[in-house]
Amino acid sequence: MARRLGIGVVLVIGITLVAFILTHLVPGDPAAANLSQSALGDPAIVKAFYHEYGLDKPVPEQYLIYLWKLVHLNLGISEQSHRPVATDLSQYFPATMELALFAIVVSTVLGVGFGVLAAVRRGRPIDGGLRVVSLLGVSMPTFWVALFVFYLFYYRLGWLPSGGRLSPGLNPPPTITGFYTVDSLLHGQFSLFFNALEHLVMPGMVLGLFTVGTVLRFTRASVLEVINNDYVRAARAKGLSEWTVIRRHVMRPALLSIATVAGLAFGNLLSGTVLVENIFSWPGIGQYAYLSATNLDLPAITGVSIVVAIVYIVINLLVDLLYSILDPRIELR
Amino acid sequence: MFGVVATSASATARVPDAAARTLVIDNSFVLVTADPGHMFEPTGELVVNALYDTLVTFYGGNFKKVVPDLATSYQVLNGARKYVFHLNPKAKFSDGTPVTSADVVWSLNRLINLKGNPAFLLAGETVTADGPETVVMTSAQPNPGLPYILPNPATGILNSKVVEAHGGTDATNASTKDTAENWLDTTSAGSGPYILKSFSTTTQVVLDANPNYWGPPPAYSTVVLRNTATAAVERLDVLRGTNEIALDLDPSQASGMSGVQVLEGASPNVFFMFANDNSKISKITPNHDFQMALRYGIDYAGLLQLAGAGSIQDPGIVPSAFLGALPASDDAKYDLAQAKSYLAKSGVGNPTLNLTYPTNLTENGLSFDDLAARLQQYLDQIGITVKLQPQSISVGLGTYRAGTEALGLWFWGPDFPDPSDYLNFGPGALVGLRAGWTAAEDPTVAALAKQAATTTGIAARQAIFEKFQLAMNATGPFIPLLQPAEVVVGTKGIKNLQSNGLWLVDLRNLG
Repeated sequence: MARRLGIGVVLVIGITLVAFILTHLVPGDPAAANLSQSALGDPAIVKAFYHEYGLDKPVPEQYLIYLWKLVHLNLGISEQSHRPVATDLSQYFPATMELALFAIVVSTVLGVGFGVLAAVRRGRPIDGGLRVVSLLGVSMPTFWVALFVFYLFYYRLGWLPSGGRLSPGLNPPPTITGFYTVDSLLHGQFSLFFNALEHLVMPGMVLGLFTVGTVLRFTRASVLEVINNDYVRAARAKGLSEWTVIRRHVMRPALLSIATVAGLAFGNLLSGTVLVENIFSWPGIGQYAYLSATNLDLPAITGVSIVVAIVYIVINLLVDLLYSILDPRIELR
Repeated sequence: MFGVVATSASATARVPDAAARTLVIDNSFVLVTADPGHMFEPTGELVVNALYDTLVTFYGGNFKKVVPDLATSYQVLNGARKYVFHLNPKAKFSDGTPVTSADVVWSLNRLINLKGNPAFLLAGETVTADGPETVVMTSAQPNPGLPYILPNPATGILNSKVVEAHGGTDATNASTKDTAENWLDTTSAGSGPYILKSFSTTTQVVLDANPNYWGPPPAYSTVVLRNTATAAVERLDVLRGTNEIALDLDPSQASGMSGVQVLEGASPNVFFMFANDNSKISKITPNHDFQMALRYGIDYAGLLQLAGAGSIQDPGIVPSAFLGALPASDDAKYDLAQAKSYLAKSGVGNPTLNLTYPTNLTENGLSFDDLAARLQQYLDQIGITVKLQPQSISVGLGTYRAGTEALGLWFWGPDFPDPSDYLNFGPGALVGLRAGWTAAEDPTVAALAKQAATTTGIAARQAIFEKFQLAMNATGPFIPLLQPAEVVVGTKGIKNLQSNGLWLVDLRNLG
């Protein structure tokens, strides 16, 4: 475990270096991206901008200063928001995590359920129907699905609210986790909880659709691989109920590959949030990353890169841990 | 129709309540701060305009007439080198204390010394007080555009004592010592009709009516600005009546909407093209006949069709709504034969040139990629092969500023609604140099620009700026193309809905 953590730290430092080099290779000027045209014509304003963000120093020195600050958990000041990057990330990151976790939980449950159903009913109409669902899930463009869902459930039917994390004018709950659903519950604000929950449904549904399709396919394939094995037949022959056979003898080995797919899918969900966050006005890290990149906001770009890298490292670690839980023969080193 | 926000789980989360009127505005946020000294973004202009009074202002979207705000009147002295503003003694901040000349001097000096994005607005100005209700602004050079600069919300007046207590300073080292921005993002300290209730650059900004407002009380008790990244969503919000105003629709999205108010007018953003006058950048583009071939070879009506209803052709570089604008009769005319004749006369043959423009950038619903493709098509018809060179905005701004683009396609959004802002396009000036246009190369236009910068009086300024632009069109490298449409859509119940090219929509005068 210590070795894994050590590798993680090296990876994070490597990512800061790559982000730093790439951002400086782009032939753009952060001042041009962040100051108005006329302000750019005033040397005093441009000089003050460069000084404020340390851009008047040589690039290697800028990098070393950045690393020194990073050691002290200081991610610098964002050139676009004028706030500490850590403060920005503490606002954006929980929003994305709340959405992505909601999407992964719902889509994994649905994907596994549908996958098992399709495998058990192999070759029957329900299997065909679910395979169509899977195909649609992995092939339909996210932006199209998002707009369609928005039009149908918000505009036409009025069942779900418009974009955002809460209805207009509502104040978020005091921050504990940054997850509005969790924080509102912790403060006993139940109406706020339901408001936050119903705002999660549409973007979560759209974001999770691809995952449902992927998990469904993998689950179906994994279950089919083991469902005709001798030990499954033996379990059936012992007179165990079909549900028990599936749960105890079929799902257990299938869960290993499902955990891998779900782990990878979670990473994809994080990268897929850019479009969904835009359409549903979800103030998450995808929007922040996009704005940072277009504004050549180096501290923010590096900050986002670090956070995403840490998330990937943690997810991989969790999946590995899950392996050893699901299959005790696997040992985590 | 308007009401407080309900906290129930229902999808339609608004409950009508006549006593507490809430207005919800959808806008794709371009927002950094609510601190006037640092703010220079479209959404920030809307927010700060509602929170802070300025010395003078504009009513609705009329940029040709300056009207009183904190100053009841002003005098222009010494050839526009000195302005004396007389404050309204009734004016008071949201905490009930009076607005004094000391607050004005402190706020404007802070703006200058912060050296932030909007500091250039008051470059060269010295601000002093002459008694508690009189403010004097002086400059070494005449500044006839000052009354049109001061309505910019960035020059909003802050309660100096309160802001000082939270880290503000107007000292010359304010750019490194002032720490009030974060506090001003949580609390306002102005005298405008609204006060800041909550501020987020990512989700929403909530404004409450200022209980101590010294003017007519605002029509809404609460205004919620929601960050809506997609115009299609804004459209459905307004059509459904969930939210009242949408600020980011383009003409095609607004067309066919029924049961709502649709305001379509020309945006003050000017799209233009230039052919670089610097022979080190291109041997072809400085050729005057080649530049005239471009001017005649563009189908302006086709560009307007692309830009949609409400867009207009731009006869000069100054937008139509501003003092000094050229009349539509001076529009460049599309004339294929004339264009071909100029190209033949230029002797450059059938050249191939790069056209650089910001890709994936859409202003007022008009995509630069689409516009560039149209220009490529039109110029191909007269024998000029255009190779499109799309660049991301942050990269493209670099080459544009460096003056290294042979053909460039850009836009200019007004810093302030006065023609003096467009002197930047003159030879030897900021944008002029980006097109390789030096003062030595065109002393006549340079002299006109210099004269325009110092001419005072509305009629005289109108005349000199018209002359300046006609001379630019005759000999300069710039080809003004169009002003795209600016669309504001609101529900029927909103009274006196007016768009404003500077602060998007006039919240102060809504009925």
